[in-house]
Amino acid sequence: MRPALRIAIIDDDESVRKSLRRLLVASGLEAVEFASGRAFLEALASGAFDCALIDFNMPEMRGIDVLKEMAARGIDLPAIIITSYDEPHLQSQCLASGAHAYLHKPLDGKRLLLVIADATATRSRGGD
Amino acid sequence: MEIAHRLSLGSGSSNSRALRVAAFVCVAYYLGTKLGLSMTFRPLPISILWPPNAILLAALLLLPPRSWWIAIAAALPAHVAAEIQGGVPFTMAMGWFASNCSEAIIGASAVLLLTRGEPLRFDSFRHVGAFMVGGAFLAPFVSSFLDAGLVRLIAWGEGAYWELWRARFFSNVLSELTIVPVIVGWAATDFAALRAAPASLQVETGVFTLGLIAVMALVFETDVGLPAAAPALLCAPVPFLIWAAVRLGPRGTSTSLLAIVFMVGWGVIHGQGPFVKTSPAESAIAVQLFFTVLAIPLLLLAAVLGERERTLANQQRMEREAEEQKNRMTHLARVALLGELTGALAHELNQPLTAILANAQATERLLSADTVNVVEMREIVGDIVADDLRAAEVIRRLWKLLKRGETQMQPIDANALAREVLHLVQGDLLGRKIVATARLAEDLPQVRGDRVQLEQVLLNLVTNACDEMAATLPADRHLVLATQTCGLDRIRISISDHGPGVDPALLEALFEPFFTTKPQGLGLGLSVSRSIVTAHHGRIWAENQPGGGATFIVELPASREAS
Repeated sequence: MRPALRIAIIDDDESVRKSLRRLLVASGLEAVEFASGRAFLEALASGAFDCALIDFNMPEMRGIDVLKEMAARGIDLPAIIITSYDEPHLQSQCLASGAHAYLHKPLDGKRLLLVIADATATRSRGGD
Repeated sequence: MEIAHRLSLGSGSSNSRALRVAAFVCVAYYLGTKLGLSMTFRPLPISILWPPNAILLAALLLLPPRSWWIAIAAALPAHVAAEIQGGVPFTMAMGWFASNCSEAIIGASAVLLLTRGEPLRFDSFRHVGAFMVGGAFLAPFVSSFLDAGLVRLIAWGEGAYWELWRARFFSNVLSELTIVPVIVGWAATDFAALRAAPASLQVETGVFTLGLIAVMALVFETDVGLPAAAPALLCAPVPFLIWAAVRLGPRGTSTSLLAIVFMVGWGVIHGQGPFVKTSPAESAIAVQLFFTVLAIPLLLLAAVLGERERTLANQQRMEREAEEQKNRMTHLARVALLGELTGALAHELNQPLTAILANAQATERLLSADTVNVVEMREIVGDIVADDLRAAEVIRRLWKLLKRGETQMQPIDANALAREVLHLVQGDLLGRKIVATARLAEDLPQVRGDRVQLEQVLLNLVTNACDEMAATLPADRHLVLATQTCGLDRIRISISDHGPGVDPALLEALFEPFFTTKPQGLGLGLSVSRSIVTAHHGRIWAENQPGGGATFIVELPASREAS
């Protein structure tokens, strides 16, 4: 049996991260919370993830900065940016910086799982 | 002023108004002549009051000079009819018409000259003075020479030239003083507004009228048995006239004065009241002098008080308008701010909504499993409740920010206000990579003010500071919100940015309405902020910091209430 997908949730808002973790776990995934992009990038060295849900609007490192840092370090991990800002230019910037998808908050669980499935499937195909 | 006056006298063109005045002149002149004759000691040509001349003067004062001829033409048939009926020969009637017209024209021209063309109003000290000099004194003075001369020339009636002159002069002075203000006053009356006057004023006017009638009845009744009381009785109506001047305005004063003169005149003709003297000429001059002397200070007093009331009403109206303007501007600025804050507020609201939705959908999935973890469920529901309350709080703050309420002064902790503002812009600051520091003074006295308005000011200053740092390197984007005590009774709230600072030449212009350096700015934020701070008896200004960047300082008086 294939092990459960490990998803990293990066959001500075505790209640958002906690609820997303619950949703993913209840859907049969593994989820790990990070309060900042910095903490997530540090953890990347030791642990492996299948996908990252990254909040756009965080202090110090914004979601897009995390994407750029990942690209700079050559980390190939599907990332989904989640945001409250419905601004087309931010969306295109994020997608150009390597994000797999750009989702608006609040997130519908079904759609989120579909996007995660899509992101991870693409990856495994790409890895083959 | 001219326009307002015209409008208050009724609608329609100046031509239709001239026709209305002409119709009034025709009727009033005729009745006025009859009334004058009824106040005449027949067969002597000595009249206590002679209304027609005053009616004609009032009509000219209500019309522009180019329409004067209409009023004069309207008076002619009335004059001829009344005089012929009174047994006056046609030549004499025409002679008197000439002298009457000359009086009205001299009076109206002199008043026009002295009021510099402004329409005459009796709630202006200057205008009343002009009327007294030009209309009530000069016009009868000059025209009486013509009148007496014509009487001697046509040789109708008796009396020496100077006697004729004197009798006509005093009679006409009293007529002008008492009748013109009544006609001009009532012509400018807005009757709809009069009906809408407060009930208390209507009751007062009623009590006043009844009281005046009662006192006048007493004056005539008492005189019969008590001649020694005559001087006191002479003055019995005076308190009522002062009452009128103080409470009922120029129109009420002149109307009651005229009513009293009519009553006294009627009494004198019928041999009743304290003014009856040994001869008709003496009685007439006694009434005329007494009321002329009384009318002058009364009309002036009513004018001064009316003027003061008018100034006060104007001032109140202007203050009200300024207040409304400020409210409108504040609202406008709030709407403008709303645009800038929409992103931040959407973020604030979406965070709890995201958590609620994820928690609810997680619960759905957990409930469909074989075993349900009650402890976890309880925890999730608790989180849902907390996030819902958080969302409600965001909405409450938004509502408070946008509400266009009345000013509500209350004691305010400026530190709490500063913290709340920083909380409100938190999302915005993050988005712009700005680090905000609060340096709040301990033991800061409270200020007295409108929480929403002051929050508005600080929000605006913080938003401006953020905008100013758009071009600053991210590492240098610091914003400091500080509070401090200033002297014994003032506090200061300052917002410092690390932007490019303000052009020293523009430090003051920043606060002008519609001054803006932002492409999309309305340029209202700082001007509204200044009007709010000024309304709180404080001041607001901008300074450049030596190390770069600008500081905006709001200084407010500390509340004297214990904090």
